[in-house]
Amino acid sequence: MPPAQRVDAYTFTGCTWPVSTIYCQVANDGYQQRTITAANNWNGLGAHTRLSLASSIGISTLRSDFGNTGFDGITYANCAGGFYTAVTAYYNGYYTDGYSDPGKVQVMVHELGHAQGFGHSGALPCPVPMMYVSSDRYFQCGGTAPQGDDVAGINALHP
Amino acid sequence: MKRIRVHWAALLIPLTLLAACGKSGGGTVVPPTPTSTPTPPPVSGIVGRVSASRIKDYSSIQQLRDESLAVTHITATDKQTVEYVDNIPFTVTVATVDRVLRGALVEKRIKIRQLGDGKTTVEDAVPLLQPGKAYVVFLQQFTYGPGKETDQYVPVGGVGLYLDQAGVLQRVDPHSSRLPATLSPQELERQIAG
Repeated sequence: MPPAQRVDAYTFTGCTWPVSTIYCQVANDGYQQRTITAANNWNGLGAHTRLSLASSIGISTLRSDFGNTGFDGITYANCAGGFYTAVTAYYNGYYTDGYSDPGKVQVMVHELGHAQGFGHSGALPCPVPMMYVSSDRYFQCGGTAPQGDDVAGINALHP
Repeated sequence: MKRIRVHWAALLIPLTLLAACGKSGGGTVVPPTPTSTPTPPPVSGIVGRVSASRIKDYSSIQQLRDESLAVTHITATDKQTVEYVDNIPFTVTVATVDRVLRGALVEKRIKIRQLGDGKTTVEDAVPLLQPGKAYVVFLQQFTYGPGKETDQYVPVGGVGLYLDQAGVLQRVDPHSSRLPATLSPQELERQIAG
């Protein structure tokens, strides 16, 4: 029997969106399909929060190059009064250009978690939530979609 | 008459996000070059926040060693600059090289790049080098890719950094819990040998 998924370990950044439909602008930069898959992995949970790809405003996602700084994804958010006003989620192409498709997807699933208001959670050994701090969530644990703890978190974020 | 309550922050969203989304409107994204830029002016009431995904967990000194160009004992100076790539702040600290413990490094002063600027909140950040403090650093050349090397260095994985606290080496990153929290210089030298 596989070990039970730890639950209720999710954390929040202290900032979130005041609405449950969050618009997501996906850059046409070669990562588009992976980003759409990542958003759909969140949308497939049946949670109240939904990442809508139909608008040009909301979260921006794109590839950048931050070099070999040790981070394969970075999210920058502006927060005012506990609510996001702008969020950009980046792939660090220095690393992710060499990742497989699932490797790219798991980075953006993680960053879109931050973009919705999640902090890091979980600890090795596997399984770990998608909000685990490193890409060992995929390279060690095989995760590409939100796990039980992430689902509990998204439901707590927007009940 | 029905009253509609809208949180004031929600009013900011259309204006602010329209600006944020403008840069992702399609086309080729050109990799940034390492340039120094001034600190963006603060916008009243809006706080910047950075979260990041680490490439992996490091679990041993040998792993840090194997990915490093050199292992050095350094002292951080008070010369620090902040460089931005797509709004993400990176602090570049000039350090003097006290000793090279392993590998080849000829410079006596080096620049070390770390995520963060000491002002923007960085979730689970690795603390920045503190002026006057001594460290052991597992160094990699900082690069944007083949042919795009710079004159800066980074700690391996962003986490290959130990503070020399009166002869006891203390892990700087609180979250790399699989790396030794402390070790003696002798133990370090033993582990980086070979």
